Amino acid sequence: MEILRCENLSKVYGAGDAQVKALDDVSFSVEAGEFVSIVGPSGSGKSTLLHILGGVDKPTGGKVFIAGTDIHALNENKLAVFRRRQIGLIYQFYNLLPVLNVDENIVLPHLLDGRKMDKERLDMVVESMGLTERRNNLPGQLSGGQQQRVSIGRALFNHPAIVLADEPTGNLDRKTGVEIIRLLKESNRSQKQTLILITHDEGIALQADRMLCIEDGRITRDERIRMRQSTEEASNSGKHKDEFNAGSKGKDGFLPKQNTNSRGTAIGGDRQ
Amino acid sequence: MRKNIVFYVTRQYMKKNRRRTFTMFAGIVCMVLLMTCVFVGKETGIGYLQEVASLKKGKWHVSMFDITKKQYEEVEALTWVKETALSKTLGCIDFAQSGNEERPYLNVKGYTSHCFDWMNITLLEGRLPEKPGEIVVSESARQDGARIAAGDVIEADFFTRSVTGTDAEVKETVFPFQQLILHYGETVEVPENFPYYEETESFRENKEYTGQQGTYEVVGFIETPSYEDSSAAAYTALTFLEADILSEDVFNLTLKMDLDKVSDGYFMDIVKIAAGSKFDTNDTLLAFSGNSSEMTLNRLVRYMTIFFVVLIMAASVLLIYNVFNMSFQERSRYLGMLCSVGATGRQKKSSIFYETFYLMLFALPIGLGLGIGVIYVAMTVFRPYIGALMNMEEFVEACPVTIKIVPENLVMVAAFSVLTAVISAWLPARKIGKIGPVECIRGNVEKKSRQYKMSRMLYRAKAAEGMLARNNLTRRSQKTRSVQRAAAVFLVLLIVTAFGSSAVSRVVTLKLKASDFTMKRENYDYVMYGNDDIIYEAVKKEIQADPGITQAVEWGDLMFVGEVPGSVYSAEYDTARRDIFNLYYHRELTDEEYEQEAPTDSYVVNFMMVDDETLARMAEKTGADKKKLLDRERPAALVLNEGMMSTDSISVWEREPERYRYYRIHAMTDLQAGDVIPVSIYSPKEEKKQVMPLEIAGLGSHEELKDYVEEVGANYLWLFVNEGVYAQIGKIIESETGRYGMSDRRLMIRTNGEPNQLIERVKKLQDGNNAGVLLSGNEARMEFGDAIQSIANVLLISFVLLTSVICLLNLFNSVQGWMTGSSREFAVLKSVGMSGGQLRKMLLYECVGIFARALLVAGVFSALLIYVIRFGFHTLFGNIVIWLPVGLVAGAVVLAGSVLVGITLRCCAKVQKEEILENIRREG
Ligand SMILES: Nc1ncnc2c1ncn2[C@@H]1O[C@H](COP(=O)(O)OP(=O)(O)O)[C@@H](O)[C@H]1O
Ligand SMILES: [Mg+2]
Repeated sequence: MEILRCENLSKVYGAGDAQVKALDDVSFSVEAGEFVSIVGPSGSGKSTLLHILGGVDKPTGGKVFIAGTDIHALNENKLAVFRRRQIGLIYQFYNLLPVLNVDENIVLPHLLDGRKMDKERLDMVVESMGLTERRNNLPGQLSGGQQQRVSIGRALFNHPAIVLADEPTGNLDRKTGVEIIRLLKESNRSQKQTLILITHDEGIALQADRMLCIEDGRITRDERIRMRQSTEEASNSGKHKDEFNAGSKGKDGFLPKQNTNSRGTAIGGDRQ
Repeated sequence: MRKNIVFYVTRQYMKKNRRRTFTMFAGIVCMVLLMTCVFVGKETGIGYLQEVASLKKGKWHVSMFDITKKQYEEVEALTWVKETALSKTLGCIDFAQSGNEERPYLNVKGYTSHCFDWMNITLLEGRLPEKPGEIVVSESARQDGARIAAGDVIEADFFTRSVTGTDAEVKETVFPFQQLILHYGETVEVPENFPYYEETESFRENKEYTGQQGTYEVVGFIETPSYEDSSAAAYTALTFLEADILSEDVFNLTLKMDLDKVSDGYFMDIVKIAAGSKFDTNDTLLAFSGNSSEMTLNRLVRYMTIFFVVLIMAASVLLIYNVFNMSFQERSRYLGMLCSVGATGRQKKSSIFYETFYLMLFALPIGLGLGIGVIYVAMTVFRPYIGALMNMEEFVEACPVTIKIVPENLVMVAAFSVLTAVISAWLPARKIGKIGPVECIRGNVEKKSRQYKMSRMLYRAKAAEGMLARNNLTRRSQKTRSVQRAAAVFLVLLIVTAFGSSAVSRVVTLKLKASDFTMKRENYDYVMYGNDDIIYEAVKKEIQADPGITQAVEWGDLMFVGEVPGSVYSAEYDTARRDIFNLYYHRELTDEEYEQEAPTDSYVVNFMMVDDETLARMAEKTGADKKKLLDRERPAALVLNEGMMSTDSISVWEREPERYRYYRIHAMTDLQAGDVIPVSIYSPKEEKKQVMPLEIAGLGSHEELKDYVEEVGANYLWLFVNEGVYAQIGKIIESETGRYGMSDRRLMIRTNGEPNQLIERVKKLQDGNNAGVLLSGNEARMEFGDAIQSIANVLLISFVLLTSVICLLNLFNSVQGWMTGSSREFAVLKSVGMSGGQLRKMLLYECVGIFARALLVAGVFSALLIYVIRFGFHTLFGNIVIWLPVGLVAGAVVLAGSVLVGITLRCCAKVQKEEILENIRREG
């Protein structure tokens, strides 16, 4: 099932001589449950694309359909409601509210939706993010990795149609970054959570089912990835066996992947 | 190289933060503007009022009639007399050209040149007389159809007018409007405004030629002078008077005072010199000229100036302080950098002062200019209002607004502005000077290690906005602190000024009306007082017979007639009285001295007689025994139990009190209803005191009697009695030569609302000092005290409004700072799906929280300030009751609250317009 489709997206900043074409006729679609990574050099338009997909920025041209809805045709209020229900956004700089504690930050989109507090869901998310000890702390009292876990919890809380992450590990050390990616992958795996992730790190990018390369606002490559994976994982992502492009890029991904694997299995096992 | 690197960097930052710099600049301009309004406006306003007031009766201050050369020289010798002018009534001549047979004469007066100007003589045609043989004639003559034109010559044969009683049957003929009583066989000279009667049954008019003759050429026509009576037999004609008038026996003198030198004693000086001859003071003009007595406009203006200056300074200091404080973080960073490369604490401080004075340099002239503009506009706008207030519309229209700029006042504006700037910059400068370089650069971000439980609110649905608002307020209050402070300042300003205004207005009331117990008379259109019993009775009869008058009841008072033992008065009264004597003697009097200077064995009580209907209603209000009170035989009285005493109401011969002091007396007597007051009244016939036992039918407070008695208070016991008791007392004090003590009857008149000819005639009588009756209308009462008070109120309100501008600026600036500081959070909230409505709701909740806190802080500070103000007023003036104007305060609170919400939502809308992305992308 197709969960996201964008058609001929373009975005132009400025006017006249100072005009910058951040996106140039971008079209692609994403299947439900798919894990897509977006890579590209700095300034190539990745963030712009992600923001347009997330409904926080408007394209100069083109359309975005999420779960069949043309999101940029919605008025501002409806778009806000759509965002809190269907889109989870994760940023490089966490963007948590400094006055809310961990619990409150996570549950925020849910509450904004005017729904009754779901304590069980909260406990589950907090636990799966490994934040049980810190749930009463304010963001200022947390480490970077912990803050990012809170923002992942927040993004996942409402079971959105799609989670968009913009360099979530960019501000973290490698070890913590790996941990964050594992959590995201885990949600993708176990909840069939559609995930689009921007990264500079090819090792991370290669863990996705599919990788989009952007250069100068255009998609230059769109590849299915077939990694060497453990038996468990292989059976899960079996349908994407056809295209496999590993080569040298694969080597970068090995070390973290193995790391992720061992732990991911442990937690996954707990839950299943 | 730059001359001063610290200043240079400061300027660069000022350029960078345009909005902040502008707010501060605007604040300083506002302050200078307000200071200008206070100092220049004061001068302009008073000058204008004087100008207008002089149009009513003229530019003179005192006129003396029929004085001799010796008296004139005495007047000239007075130090406070600035200029004099002379005039003389030459007498009547026949006016053959008259077009009105009831006005067959001309009344010729001679003026020296000053007089034409001072008396507001307005030339309508031709020119004014320049030599003795020339006259100008009142326009009223031409209006009546006189056959006369410029260039005509009038042969004058002067005569005096008198009347002789011719009817033996008629014992006395009363001419109430001329204050004349004519007995049979008597011949009396008549005043200038006497009508033309020819011969009637009871009297005859005589013309007695003085032998003085002359030829006058008519050179022009003047507007009918204000003193000419339309029913007089003679029209006014003015001729030129030469200075050799001094050789003649008597003449009139008009003078202008030197207002810088004149003191309260001027009146006595005049009384002494006049020695029985008539004189007149131009009260309208004097009321606005200041200095003539303590309760004038000048004194009030001085109090208000102080009040306003303090107010403006307080508001400005807080604004500037807030601006500095809000930018403290940023400043401490760049100043820290300067510091790390070797700037001293003094240099850092100088940066703050530099910024303030740099802005002041430009703000001063701009504020001055704007202030003068505001004064001009305000004067122009308020002109008709002032005119209406003082019953002087026609004069106000004739008087253009001129701005009076005195160099001293400009200096004051500059001085106070600079002082304000120094004070407001001093605190932040000190704070910044203290901080070391490391702290500056690092910024003082402390990490709290407190844990916060998830709010319980969360378990309820739809609580996200409330929860956010609450957490914003409780977990990071410093963010909204400047808003809170600004709102609190605004509230304090409004509340304190509301109180201060009520206090000032109260003091004005007391100072203007403190002297006496006064009955309220709003229910009546006119009150007629009688100076002369016979004339009073005659006019009263006419009024009671007039069909246009719906009610005319008689009230009366008797003052300094009754005496009571000291024990009738309360201990509270005695304490106050003693304090006042101590003030007059500038020391604590011993018991013996006090007893000697102010004997306490016998005190005065006063009586007020009102008609039965009114008395019955007063009894109802106070719960007094109505039956006893209305009994005409057995004396009973309703006691006004509240009173006051002040150094104004009690004076000690030839002594000046240490300072002004006012005492409010809550209970004048400790006696109760049913007790009997033994009032002794001196009977001149029996040459001894008679004791009249007077039962207290009830006691009333000002509050209970507020419909009848002005709540200013009196320093003697006032006893309300009925007509019968009043008459009983009247009988006791009667003697052949008149009454002993002071009795004053008055007729309370209600008309059917239509213009009444009789009333108009009676009104004319009161020009001049010896009127037999005095009629005062409700509008006439508005003239001085009330007009001044209204002006004071208008000024107070205007100033509160203008000062609010500074506070609003402050509030606006803080809210904007708060919004800008929160824009990133708003962006995050929006990105996780908060709608605009939810955001507004959240802010609304936050506003409520901020406002509640501001209200709390403001409440505490206002209470403190009010206490201080009250204390100040009490030590300055005495225990005046000052009400907190609750309505005004409630209004202020609502206003401040809505302004806060309004500004917040507006700023929020502006912040929301900015792209969400910009904020999300910014680094944390
Ligand atoms: N608000 C903006 N105004 C002008 N240009 C912008 C703005 N935001 C991004 N750009 C430009 O658009 C291009 C794409 O930016 P971005 O999507 O942030 O790149 P990436 O995330 O791939 O590094 C860059 O050239 C950037 O300079
Ligand atoms: Mg980017």
